[in-house]
Amino acid sequence: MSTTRLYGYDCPCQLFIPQNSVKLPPELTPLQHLMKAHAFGDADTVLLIDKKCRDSFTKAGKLGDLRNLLRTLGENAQYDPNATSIAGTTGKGAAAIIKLRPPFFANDDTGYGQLAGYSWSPTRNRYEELYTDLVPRQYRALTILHEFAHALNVIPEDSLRADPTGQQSQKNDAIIDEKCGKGLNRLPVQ
Amino acid sequence: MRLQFYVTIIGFLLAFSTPACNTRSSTMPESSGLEVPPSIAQAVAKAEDVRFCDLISKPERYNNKIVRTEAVFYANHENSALYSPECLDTTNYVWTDFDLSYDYSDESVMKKFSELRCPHVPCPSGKAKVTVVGRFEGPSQEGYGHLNGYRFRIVIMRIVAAEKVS
Repeated sequence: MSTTRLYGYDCPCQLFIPQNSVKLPPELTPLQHLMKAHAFGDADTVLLIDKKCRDSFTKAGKLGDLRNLLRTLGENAQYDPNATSIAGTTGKGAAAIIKLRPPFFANDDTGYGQLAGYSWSPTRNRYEELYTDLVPRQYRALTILHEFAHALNVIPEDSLRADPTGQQSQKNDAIIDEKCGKGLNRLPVQ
Repeated sequence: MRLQFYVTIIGFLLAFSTPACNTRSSTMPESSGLEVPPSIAQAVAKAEDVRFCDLISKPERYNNKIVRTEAVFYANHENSALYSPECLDTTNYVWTDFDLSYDYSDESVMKKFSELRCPHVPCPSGKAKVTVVGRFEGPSQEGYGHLNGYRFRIVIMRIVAAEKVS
């Protein structure tokens, strides 16, 4: 039992200190803030350097407007400490909110990285996402493009309401990888 | 006069501090090693048992109530939801969020749930049959969760039991 000094006396209890305070939600660490900034910056880079990717997004608007919107969504993105999925989007257009969850920030196949789908590639000596073979930094950029595409309505809905099999989410990753893979693969691996 | 005033104040403080010292003993220790705040423990203990399909069919009755229910938990890269094969329909998925008090759950149950959710690595998707206690919400016009695609939400406070989906 801890002891609190009270008016010069040692009190064997915790007066005025919440005894059963629930843990506060974990906040992003400085490194995770950097990873988030990299992810949105990398997604923007892919839009600039990959014409096929750019063309698939500019169906929804001019490149300048899209880049501004991506920047806004990056500023408004929220951290959701639920560990059950990587990311999600609520709302559409400028009102969309991208939610990033702990597996988004994983870099290997331990803990949250297992939920992100990372495994070690012995041939390339690096961790890669199961279906796209992208390294974690590249896959984070793909995830941002995926959620950005939801905000713009340029990929099919993949909530369980629209797809009870749960397969559409991975199919949408494949769509983004097919359109933007060239640009994503040119991003740094670290 | 002033000294008498301070002595009286300190006397009152010490007198009222005694029950506060005893509040720790009123908490219920659980196997996770954390002490559960009595109000949460009581809310979980008093949660009404409700069939999952009844939650869906009579949501107004249970909106914002803490309930205990059995369902299948499914999660992939973007979704995490409860459903029941007995009333499976595209509109009957319940979005899941986790309350901060989930940390007070039994460690062995949380571990079993994690193993069932992720039986082999990597595991971008997975499912487990669960009994949960949580606050049920809905139906919502705006929708809950990914792409606002869910009419209902449950904020899970405890996973009481977890087993393999048969």
